[in-house]
Amino acid sequence: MKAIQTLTLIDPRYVRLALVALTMILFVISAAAPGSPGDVGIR
Amino acid sequence: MSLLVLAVLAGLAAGLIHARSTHSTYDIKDLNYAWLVPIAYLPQLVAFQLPATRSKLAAEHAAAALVISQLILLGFAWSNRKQPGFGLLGLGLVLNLAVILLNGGLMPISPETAARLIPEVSPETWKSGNRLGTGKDILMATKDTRLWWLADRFLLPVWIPYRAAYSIGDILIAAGVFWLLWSSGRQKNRAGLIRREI
Repeated sequence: MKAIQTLTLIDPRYVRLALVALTMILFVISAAAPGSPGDVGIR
Repeated sequence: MSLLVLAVLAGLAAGLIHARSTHSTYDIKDLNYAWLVPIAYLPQLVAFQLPATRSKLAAEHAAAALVISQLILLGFAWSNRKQPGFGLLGLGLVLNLAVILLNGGLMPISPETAARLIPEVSPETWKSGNRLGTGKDILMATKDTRLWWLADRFLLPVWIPYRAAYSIGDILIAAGVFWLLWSSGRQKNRAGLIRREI
């Protein structure tokens, strides 16, 4: 119940900001193609 | 964390700081067809991310997954072309897609660049025609690479604690995303705004 109350208190504009940021993070991960040592299992 | 993800977070932070310092508002607009982005990510998740599937996928299937994914992202970029920064990131996407398509469906990287990127591995390991592990890159000699100047050929400075080989397209994508999020902090009061309190 407390979680629902907290969710309803979140300003929709913040939700939009978070969604756009998440979308753009997913976008750069998918759109860019950098090669890295992780590709061959080296961290 | 990838530097490209950092570009997103840096753009967001710069936009919010700019809005606050100019007593302006942070105006982030809804993106058109944003659902295309997770859909575009799915083929890449299977081909390059999930350990259970990425090692089993043949190179040609991984290449098809990358091209399909990038075409979907191109549709997303086109549908948002009027937003700030999308011209730049769309251009980066087109440049990456061009060099990928002209070289068999994966991003070319020269054996010399791979050897500089991953010095722990013997340079003899890097043979043209092989994939760079399970990533999006394929090893290809510069002389055999079409549009070699658009391939992954830039390394980050050694003082940055993250190693990666980037293309011009990658740089434009990062710059475009930064611009999109930073410019949202330059808007004046309009409907549906995020106020400067944040």
